Amino acid sequence: MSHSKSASLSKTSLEADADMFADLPPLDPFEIKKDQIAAQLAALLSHSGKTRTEIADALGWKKSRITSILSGRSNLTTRTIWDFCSSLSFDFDVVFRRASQPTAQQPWQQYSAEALTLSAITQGNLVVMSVEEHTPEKIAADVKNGTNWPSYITISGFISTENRDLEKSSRLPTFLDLASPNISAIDYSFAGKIKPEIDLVQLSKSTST
Amino acid sequence: MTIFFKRLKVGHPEPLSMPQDAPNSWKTYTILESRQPQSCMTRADIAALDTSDRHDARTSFIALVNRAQTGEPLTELYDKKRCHEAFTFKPFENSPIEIKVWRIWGAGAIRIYFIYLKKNIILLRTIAKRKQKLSKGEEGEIKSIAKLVLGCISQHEFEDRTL
Repeated sequence: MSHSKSASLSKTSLEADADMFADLPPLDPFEIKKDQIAAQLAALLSHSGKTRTEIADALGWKKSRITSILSGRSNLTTRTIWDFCSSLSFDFDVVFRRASQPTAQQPWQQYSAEALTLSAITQGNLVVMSVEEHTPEKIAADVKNGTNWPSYITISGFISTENRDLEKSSRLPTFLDLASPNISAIDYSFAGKIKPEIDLVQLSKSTST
Repeated sequence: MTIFFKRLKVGHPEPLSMPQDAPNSWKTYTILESRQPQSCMTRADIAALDTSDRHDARTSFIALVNRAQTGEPLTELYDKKRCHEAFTFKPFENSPIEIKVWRIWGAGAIRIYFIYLKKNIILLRTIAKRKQKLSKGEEGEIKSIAKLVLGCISQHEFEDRTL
């Protein structure tokens, strides 16, 4: 394929992993913020399950106005944001953060409470553990560094067999990452991720509200 | 041809860093023809644009990243005129399935062609298009790139080829 050959690469772009837009004027952060607000409003509308036509009708606005609001090019007023949110039965706050800190969690990013039960068979012994899921917001450092997994769980528990006491549970893994954003695999085998003394682990999920 | 995938960096926030992902975020990837950054197809696309179009491309990528970060369906986040199916094709003869290639009409004349791969967005081509319809040559080239990506999927190599 001659794709890359057909386009003339500038000398700058041939350098290491540089910004492909490095030769353009600096961005106006306000323009980006406008678009971020529009993207969040669009996500809220999607999360609500309503269409652009429906919210336009509910507010008595033209659909073109909704299109304009969600385009990211408009400098929205507080009144517009309020009308938009309240028509979807949502409120909004102004939440401040340092630029380096993660953004606040939005409704469409929240997890339902996941009650996870982990059972394992290890050399004939039964291992019972409780599992608590952590969102990346709780692991801010990872998020800040961009190295977070989609979700995390912490395992604590004990081995409920003779000659095994709570103290020895420290040998169990206490931190385990999940590659699946929604932990969608009902029978998720962690064989190979757990320490060798555990032969087979299956994770089952039940969702509670 | 061996291809690789790398997350799209759009020059914001600076210094270049990954977008802040939520657990359900769409992750946008560019395609590289080798492990070298300069082999990035999107980079080549951008280099071929004039200054005005490059400005629009940057704006379009930032808008895409802002929306992908939410994890909501892109078709709900863009107006239908702005994000829609560009064309479909069968990845091989007698294929029972058709692959959808999507198009985002970004700022100005910028058109971004992509396919979905699980929770990832794979950028195929970014061009300044002043005519609505793709030429057969352009469509064929996009299909060729998409087939390369699909080859990686069939071989379960996507993660292995992510840089």
